[in-house]
Amino acid sequence: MDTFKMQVPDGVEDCLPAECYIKKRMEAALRRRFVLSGYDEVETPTYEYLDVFQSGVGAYMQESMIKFVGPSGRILVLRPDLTVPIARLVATKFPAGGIKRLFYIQNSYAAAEPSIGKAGEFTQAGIELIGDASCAADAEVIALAVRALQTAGLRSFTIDIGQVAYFKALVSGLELDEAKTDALRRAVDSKNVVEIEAMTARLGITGRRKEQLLALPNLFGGAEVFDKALALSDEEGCRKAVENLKSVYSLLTDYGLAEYISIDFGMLHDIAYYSGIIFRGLTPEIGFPVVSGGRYDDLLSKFGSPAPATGFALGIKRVMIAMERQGLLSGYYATDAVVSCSDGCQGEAFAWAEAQRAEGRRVVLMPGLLEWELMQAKEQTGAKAAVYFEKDGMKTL
Amino acid sequence: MQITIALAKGRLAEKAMEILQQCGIECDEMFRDTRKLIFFDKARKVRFIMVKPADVPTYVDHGVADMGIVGKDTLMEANLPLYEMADLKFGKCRLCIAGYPAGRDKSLTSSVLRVATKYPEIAKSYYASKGISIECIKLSGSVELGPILGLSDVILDIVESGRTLVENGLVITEEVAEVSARLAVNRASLKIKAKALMPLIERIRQVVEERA
Repeated sequence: MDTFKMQVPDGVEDCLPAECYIKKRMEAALRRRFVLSGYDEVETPTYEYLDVFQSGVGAYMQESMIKFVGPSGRILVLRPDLTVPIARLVATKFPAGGIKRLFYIQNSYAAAEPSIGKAGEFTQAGIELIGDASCAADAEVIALAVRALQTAGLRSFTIDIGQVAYFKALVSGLELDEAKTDALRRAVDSKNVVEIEAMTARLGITGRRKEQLLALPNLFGGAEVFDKALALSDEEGCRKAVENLKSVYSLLTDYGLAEYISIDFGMLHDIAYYSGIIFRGLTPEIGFPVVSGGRYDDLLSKFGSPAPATGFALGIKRVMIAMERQGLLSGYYATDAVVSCSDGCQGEAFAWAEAQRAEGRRVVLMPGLLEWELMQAKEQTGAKAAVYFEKDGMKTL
Repeated sequence: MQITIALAKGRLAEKAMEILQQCGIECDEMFRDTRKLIFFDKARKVRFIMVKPADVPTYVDHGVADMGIVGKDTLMEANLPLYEMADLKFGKCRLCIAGYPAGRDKSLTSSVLRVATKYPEIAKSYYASKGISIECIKLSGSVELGPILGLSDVILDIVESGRTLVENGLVITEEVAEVSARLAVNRASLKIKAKALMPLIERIRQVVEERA
């Protein structure tokens, strides 16, 4: 039992100075970028009622959430994501509607088995644009995702965009129940043509519809995909989905960001609240998305105040892992001076240090060191200067 | 752009290399008696890593391998979000539930079905989908001993010829899935390295068609 006091639980970890410096610097840069883009910061509680994340749109797998019983006897959960709490916040605190641009930099929690880039506690920086159903809103959010990754320091990455409405239109006429639709969605999302083939046989889907479902996993690439998607299905819902994605793509071209964009009609996120344009940010050297987002027009109605919405979340740790593997992570505190003094001269040393700090310099006080010890400290901390106070006055070593 | 392919050490890797050779990827080095874990093809466009079969999905999931070739049973057990992009149609077998023909006496001390298997995750999700609670007993081999020694009521295992089952007095009661070698691809790699990966995947699909 005694060994537990020396450990932290599975899935969580300490953030030591070298990592913490880079993490906080990244968060500060992202905060500034979001603020400059017109988004307002909010914080939501670390834990909420299970009811918020249960049943219907925005439901989470029960086993993926960390739960406990609150003093009142109701079940509470550590928030598994921030989009659902912000939907609750907007629907309940701003029921009058209108357009809201909000952002957050907060931790989320998961009961998943931890491994690299998949922790039990992880910081997300994200935005939500609520009350705007237009293509311009989708493009604004995707453009800001690109800018956020650039701000974080990533250089090569791709934003892969899909539109779930295309798949939804293909299966809507098939009258499948929720479980079967979901199984088919998973097969398409994992590009598992073998499984789609088997499922269409089992569900009695034949002819044109079967061909379309089998073609869906390969419907990805650059702008050429739009024509392929239109040729594959002339269904009203499919056509609208393609037109919608095309408009967003054209706006992103106006933003000057087309080089970062790829299209995939076969990408279907596994979080059930997404309803339209969805996207994920991918970068070399890490197998998981570093950004994930999309449109979730049905989520706010769950909290009694329907409104269209779109947004994304960026995984800080994942971006850091990718950047480290790409050789892009560096930086640490720059110390301007280490200061010491002989006995009786503390007053002068303290006053000088405070005056320096008031001007924004980082100064470490180490009273009582000998001169050679202070020189050693200067080496160790990489300080720019070593300053020593004695009876005759101040000297720079 | 170099790509990394994870291969499952052993018979599956040999068969996989046959197909890759037909796709124009030459790697003589691999057929020498060596303990190296990393190999390159002649053109140095492909890097191969040799890993335990159960680890192939892990390497691909983390993106340190762009794609991997491994049995469907291993992919099902790992249950990771990978793109499963081709059935290579070798290493064919079935995942089955087997037990005594008459079900024999159920043990008094267990109201739930006891399943001995090398695949606890598949067993749990298969029975969960049928709404049956089970007690899963994880074994690493000779799973057939489970029912014989009274450790379990049934087993879930891969069956090729069925000879081991017959010789031990067991019969197949249910079929869970068809197994064969599959090409699994990392989700980020497919998009970032599409120019290198897509032609190879297409070629692999063609070669598999031709062989069939």
